[in-house]
Amino acid sequence: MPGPQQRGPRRPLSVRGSRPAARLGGNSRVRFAVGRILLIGALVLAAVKLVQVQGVDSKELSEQAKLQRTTRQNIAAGRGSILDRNGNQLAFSVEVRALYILPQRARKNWDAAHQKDPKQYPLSYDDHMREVAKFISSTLGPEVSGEKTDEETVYQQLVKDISYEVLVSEADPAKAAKIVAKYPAEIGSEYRAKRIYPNGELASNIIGAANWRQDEKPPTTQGILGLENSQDNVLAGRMGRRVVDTMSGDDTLVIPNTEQELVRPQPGKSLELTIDVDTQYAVQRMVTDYAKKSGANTASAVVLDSHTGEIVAMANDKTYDPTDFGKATEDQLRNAAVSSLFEPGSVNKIITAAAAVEYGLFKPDDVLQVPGSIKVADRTIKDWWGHGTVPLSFAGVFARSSNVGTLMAAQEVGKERYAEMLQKFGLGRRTNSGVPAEEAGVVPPLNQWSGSTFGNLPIGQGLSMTLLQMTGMYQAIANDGLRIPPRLIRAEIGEEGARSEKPRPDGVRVVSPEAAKTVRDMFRYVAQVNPRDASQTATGPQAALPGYQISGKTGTAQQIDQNCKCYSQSQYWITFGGILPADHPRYVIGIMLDNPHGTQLSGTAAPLFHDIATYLTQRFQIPMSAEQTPYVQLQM
Amino acid sequence: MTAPARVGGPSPRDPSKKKAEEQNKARRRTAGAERAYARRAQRAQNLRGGAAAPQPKPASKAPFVVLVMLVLGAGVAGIMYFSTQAAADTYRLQEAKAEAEKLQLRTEQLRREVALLESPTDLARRAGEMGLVEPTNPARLRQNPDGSIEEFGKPSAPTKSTPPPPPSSETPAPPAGQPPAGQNPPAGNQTPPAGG
Repeated sequence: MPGPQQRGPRRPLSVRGSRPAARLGGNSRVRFAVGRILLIGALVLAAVKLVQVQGVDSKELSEQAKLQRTTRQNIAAGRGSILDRNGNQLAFSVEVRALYILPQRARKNWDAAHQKDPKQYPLSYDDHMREVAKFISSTLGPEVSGEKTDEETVYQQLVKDISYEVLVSEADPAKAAKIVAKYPAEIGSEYRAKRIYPNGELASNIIGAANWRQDEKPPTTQGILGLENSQDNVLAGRMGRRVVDTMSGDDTLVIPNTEQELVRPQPGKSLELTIDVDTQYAVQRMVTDYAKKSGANTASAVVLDSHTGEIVAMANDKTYDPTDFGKATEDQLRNAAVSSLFEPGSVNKIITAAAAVEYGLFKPDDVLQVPGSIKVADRTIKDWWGHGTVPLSFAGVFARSSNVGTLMAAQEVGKERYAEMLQKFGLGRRTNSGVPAEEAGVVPPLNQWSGSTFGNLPIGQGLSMTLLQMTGMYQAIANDGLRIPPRLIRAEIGEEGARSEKPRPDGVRVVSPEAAKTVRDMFRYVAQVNPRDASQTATGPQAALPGYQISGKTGTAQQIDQNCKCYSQSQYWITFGGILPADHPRYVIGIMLDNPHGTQLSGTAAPLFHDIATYLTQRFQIPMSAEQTPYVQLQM
Repeated sequence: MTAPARVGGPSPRDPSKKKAEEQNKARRRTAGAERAYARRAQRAQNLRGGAAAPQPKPASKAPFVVLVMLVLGAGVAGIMYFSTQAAADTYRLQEAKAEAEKLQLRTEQLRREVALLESPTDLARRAGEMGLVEPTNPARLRQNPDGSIEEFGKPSAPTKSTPPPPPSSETPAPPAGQPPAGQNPPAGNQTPPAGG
């Protein structure tokens, strides 16, 4: 560095004016020297400190750093709710706190403080805990969702000789915060989520149950049964992660304002179901009631929207409490409407009727000479009432539920066309409605039919289906021959109400609209009654709903006797499939009773149809039919 | 660049040297060299303080220093003000966050209460406690175009045993002249055996 005094003469030519050397005072030399010394001094100091930190004190410092450093934490993602079609909540999660104590450590710390400073800590540990227990008990009340929190119980927990003790696992967060704020050294609180089912047992076979799993890594709410389980991926969302600075070795004590989010949590989506919770409640109650009145082992009912195939209600007489599903029996846990298979009996005759009308083989007022019995291969099939050859109208065959007449019509339809029709009605395959644990049912394929099979299927024996499938068949007829596979989940609702509708399943054309209307009209006579003439009275007069045309079919199928492996003469499945109203269909109702016995109502499900239909007309304000079902001659 | 004329004038640098020699030399120089000499002469003159352009008297520094000090002072004051504000805001933010969290929890609690209270199970229970019953078999009325009223179905009084209604409320009497409950249209053969 050239000195300032030499600068003048050697300075190269510059556009700037030259600086006169005389301006630089004489003390500048001193200033530069002092500056240099100071800088060098600072460098030396830094170097010395570096050696001290890295070499001499390194062990001690890293110990200290361990006590105060960042911790990675999971950020819980809120679990989605389950809603009904009107947005009523069927299941949702709330935040709660688990309060815990480390009794051994708390005692040690307290005793140390007590000995060191008896003035500030005059009480012994036990006496101190009496106070803590009193405060906790008075804040939380004597019980928190089944866990006792009275003073004595809490006290016993506080003074246990144990390293970790949970006092209460589902405390209200505000109350928990109050307790922790008062006794931060002793009591800790921990995030948990609680699943709430406001309707309790209602629809629990469908919705299922989820609960907090502390043993999961990381702990989270997990779906165990039903939709909560099958849709767990959608509902659960994804956890986020963050880094926080925590204090003095306690990873739960976060220094405020040090949180740093690494991954944002993705809250789970909510599910909007097609269920209407009010209808579900009413149907549930009626089904439970009717199961008792008819002495049935199991009773189920399904209500479908006839145009969209949406499941408006699906009720079983047996349900369970989702918050305490451990106690539920196998029967209570299963959703009989989709997981029990049964032989439908006479409700299956609608397939023969639809096929015969579709192929133009019969008109409703065609008269069939129906003999007392009919022989199909090696089997002789009779009607439920003994008779010689009687002239029945084609409508009368179904209204009177004549097996012989139905089989005569089925013979006309033919095996191939009949088997094809079974396919079109969606039997033998899962409906993929979104209801968990759905069964497919059994329909023997055409190439495995024995001689008598075609004598069984048209009258609803020798094949099995779920109640949902059975109701789906009637939906096809109600919806002008277009079968829409039933469905349970309507939409997924994401963050900030972003709604994504589930695609509506494609319809399956079963029969032409005209044929469907003819069948619907023909099945209206199921409720016809003539007090003076039993031969003009149909099988389901109790189903009648004054003011409305209804259309439907009763069914009785023999169960298989496990002793003789033959059809039982005493145990039946009683079924009903119906359309409301028949002239402008809005809802389809399917009912199944498993082995009702011992009461006046054991033989029919028609009264239950009447009750459910009555409720639906009120609930959805269904306009009355313009005309009532006309009276027709069933037997000529 | 203007150089003083050499011819006829003494060199400003060395006036005492012999003129003749100088002139002879000058006569032998090229034009480029002439210009170089001229520049050298001018440089020398400048260094000696020969006023080619007279230096202005240096302006007083005081106003500038004062200005800088004022700016610095204002800056420091500003920074201090803003940092205190920021610190205060942090506390306010923290309080607001805590408040928001509290309110969030409160909302959640209320949401939970509403959901529980509006569940049909609970509504039905409370309705039952108030003595309300559901008509299982209502009749329906229709007004025909001619103004006459047509009645469909026969209403029946609810069959359910209900808890007694509060004494203050009047018990609605079942419509007079109605048949007792549970009357279904008489039916023929109601319980068909297999295949019905």
